[in-house]
Amino acid sequence: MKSISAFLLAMLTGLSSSFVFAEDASFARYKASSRDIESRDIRTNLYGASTDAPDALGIDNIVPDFVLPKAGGGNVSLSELRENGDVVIIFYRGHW
Amino acid sequence: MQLGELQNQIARFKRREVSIVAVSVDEPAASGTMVERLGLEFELGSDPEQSVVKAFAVQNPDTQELAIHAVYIVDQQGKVYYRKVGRRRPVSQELIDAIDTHRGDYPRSDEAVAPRKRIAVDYPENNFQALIAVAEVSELPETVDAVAFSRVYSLIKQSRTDDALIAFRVLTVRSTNADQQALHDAASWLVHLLLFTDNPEALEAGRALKKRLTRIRSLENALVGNKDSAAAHDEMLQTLAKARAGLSLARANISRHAGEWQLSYAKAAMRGYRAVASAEIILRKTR
Repeated sequence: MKSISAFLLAMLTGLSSSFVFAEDASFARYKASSRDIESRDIRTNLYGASTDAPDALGIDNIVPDFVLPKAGGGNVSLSELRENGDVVIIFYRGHW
Repeated sequence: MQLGELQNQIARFKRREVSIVAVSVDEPAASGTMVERLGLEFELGSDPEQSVVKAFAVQNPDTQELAIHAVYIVDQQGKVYYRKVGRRRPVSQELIDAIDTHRGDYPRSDEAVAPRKRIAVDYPENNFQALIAVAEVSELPETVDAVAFSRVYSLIKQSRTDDALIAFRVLTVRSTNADQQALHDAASWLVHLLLFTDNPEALEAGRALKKRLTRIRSLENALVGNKDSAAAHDEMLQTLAKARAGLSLARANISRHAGEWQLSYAKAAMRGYRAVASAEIILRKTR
């Protein structure tokens, strides 16, 4: 059944790589953008790179610690957050 | 990524002992209203000087005052094991998958948290047609607190959209006898007041637009289902092209009057309307 669905997926997308995606489920693959044809391993620099920010920090870089004022008063410190485990850091445009 | 979507899934990050910090160039006060509005349980750091944005080299090339959208996941040593810069914004599931992949625990069976319950809104935001559809209410329901309602109205008039959304929540709490439908109607009335009370022509223009859209949709369906001759097909294509031209005219008519009809309130009105969706949660908490 699994191989049939993988086959259908490959038929639909017309790509053999989708076959690999369906068969190998040991790591996550995604499409980096809607224009991408193929899904990629999300752990590579290639996956998350952007020509708009060519010098952005990449995989295996050590990010600098920071302390920023936070909403609702006080500060938020990356090194303190790291003590409790991994940290997701999001840069977003702002509320407007 | 929508911060609200992330908030919906926050239990899954907590289960994995992963913290979240969002950084923007907004002042803390501006971020504060958003924390309140979305009920965010993670930290929002303010970086108006862009010191962190620059340290990560994620400045926006178009407007130097802003960051480009970017997501990083680092381990306890601060080492990056996932990043996505300026591409399609990842939803929580992608981040969860990245974390689980990094830990060699992918795929992990982990039920996604059900999204917040919303009233079904079957049209896109900022759509004039949608505004017409929701504005078909002629008065404020009696069970809705009129004072709180007028506060929402005046805040939107002052373009204080975020404050207005909070005021809308206050409205839902104060209106103790109002049921979901009454709150729904209050939001519709708000849209009506903001956009159409002074501008009956706007309402007419909107209805005309809606009619044309409906016609185009039925023409399109007929075309897809057409099994007749090529001649009939061509004729249908021509009719459709005419209908689409009519739609462009109707749209142009609305754009031309955008200033006069104060359609800049449309977005705020629609957001107010959508705030009803979160009202239910508050109702459940307070009763």
